[in-house]
Amino acid sequence: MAGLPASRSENALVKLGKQVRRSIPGYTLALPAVLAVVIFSYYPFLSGLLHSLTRWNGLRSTFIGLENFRELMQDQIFLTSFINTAKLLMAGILKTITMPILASELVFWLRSRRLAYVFRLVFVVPLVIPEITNVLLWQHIFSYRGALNNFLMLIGRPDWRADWLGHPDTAMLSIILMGFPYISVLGFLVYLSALQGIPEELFDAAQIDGVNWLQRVFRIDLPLIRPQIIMLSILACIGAVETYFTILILTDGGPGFSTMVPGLYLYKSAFSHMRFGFASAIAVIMLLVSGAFTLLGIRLMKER
Amino acid sequence: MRRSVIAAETLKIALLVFLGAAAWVPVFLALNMSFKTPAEIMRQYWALPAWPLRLENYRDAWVYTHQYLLNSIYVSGLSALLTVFIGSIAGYAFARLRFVGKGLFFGAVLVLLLIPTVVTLIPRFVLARDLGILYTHWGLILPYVAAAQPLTIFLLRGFFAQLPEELIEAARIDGASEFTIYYRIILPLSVPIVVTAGLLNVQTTWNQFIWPLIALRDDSMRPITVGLQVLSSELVGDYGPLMAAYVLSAVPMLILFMFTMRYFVRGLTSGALKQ
Repeated sequence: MAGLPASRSENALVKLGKQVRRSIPGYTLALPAVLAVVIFSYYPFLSGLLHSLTRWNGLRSTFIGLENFRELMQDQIFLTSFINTAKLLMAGILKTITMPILASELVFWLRSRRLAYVFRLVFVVPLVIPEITNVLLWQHIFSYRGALNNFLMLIGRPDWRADWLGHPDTAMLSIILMGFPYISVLGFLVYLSALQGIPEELFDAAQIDGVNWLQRVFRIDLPLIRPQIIMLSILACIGAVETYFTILILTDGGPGFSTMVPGLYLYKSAFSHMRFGFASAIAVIMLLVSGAFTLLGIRLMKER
Repeated sequence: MRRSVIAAETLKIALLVFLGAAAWVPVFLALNMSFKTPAEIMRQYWALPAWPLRLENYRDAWVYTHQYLLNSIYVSGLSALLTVFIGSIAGYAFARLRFVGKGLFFGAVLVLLLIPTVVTLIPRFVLARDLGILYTHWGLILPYVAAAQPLTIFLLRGFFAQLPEELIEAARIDGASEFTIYYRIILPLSVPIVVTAGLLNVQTTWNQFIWPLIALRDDSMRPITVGLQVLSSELVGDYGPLMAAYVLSAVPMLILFMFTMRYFVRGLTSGALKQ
């Protein structure tokens, strides 16, 4: 009588043992990757969350509750950095939804296939230029002896010359305007492949109905690449919140704190002032903001 | 009708020529200055370089940058190989093998796509120090490999899952181990996607700046990104060699790109779409 449940649980044990034994190859092959992300992603992530509640210099930490967050809320530099992020974010969205779409539309509707191929190359090959090189080139363009001032001399306006990145009135604007004509390789390729994915019949039908090109762009092309527009806009938002190496190179947050952004403030708090706990609190806020954009993106993409 | 078509086509080409030229302006500027003497750059900024071209700029730039370039090639190359290796065996496990907790592990890896790296920057620095890999190339490579796993596994698992089951079943009946199946059957059938994942990875690590800036100390170990920034502050105003260095920084990727453009383009679009 007592034997039945016992043998059943024995059976279950044997079954589990079998399952685990069958699992061994799977575990072995997945182990290196799982181990890598646990050590270098999960552990630092949790450590960062916990240490945002501490005073930490990388060696010793003391629990101080929400003190770091309270300090941040009253920190003028931090608030400035968020306003700057908002500006970069709006500029980022604007850049994403204009120039790459224009370029991909033009290439897509070019009649000559050979020219379309050539222009595709023209917009894609800049991929090989390291992002840093690009930023450093723009640093030169805006520098006092750089291209922009030389251009102003050329058109007979030497009085308009300025130290574009070195002056608080122009530094932020220069950073925002950097990168003309704003045709990102990623944006161009994503839009172009989305346009190429639109069924041919739609365009044929539109042509039979006598639709002009303006109607076609706004009634067919743009609505059909809407998912890509949303996705790239969300990526632009996340990029605006997270990217700070550009500003680190161009102005280092200055002059004063006029071009400070949260990422750079985090970087400086940690590696110039050894305030690791305070910097971790900035990281947590950045995580919340970019997380909100990600969720918004997922929601919008699902809606269609 | 015919004429309006030609007019429209001409307008499109004109616009594209303008946009394309504008996009390449910084590159033209760099190339132009890289062949000029300081005096030429000072006095005739917009003029083309005088003959003979000042090739010394490139010799100097090569002296300054070759170590940085080699470091970048070493770090990005090794990272990509390791990433693709451990990412593809994991991708195979997640695509084709049964094991307890598979869904949980896969979800745990994928959700990392949503976590920005800036959030883990400081603890990662402390961790690298505690592991004793700070200020070494392993201090770059290991975190790069880990950070690339979610996207790599996602891309490869998706491809592996579509391969026909019969091939794998046949090999299993013949008594092949799972690693042998991966190595002899799965991998040869998946070369394009594996190359794509590898290239995507090379491109990402090649561009890394902040992490090598803080995780390395020795100038001789720096990758080209940090090296260029150092050079730009050391060679202030000496634009000739500096611009030549900027040009050189794009050459390795240009060479790689010439042979693999197809994979690059696919990697970029598929990588982004799935994030």
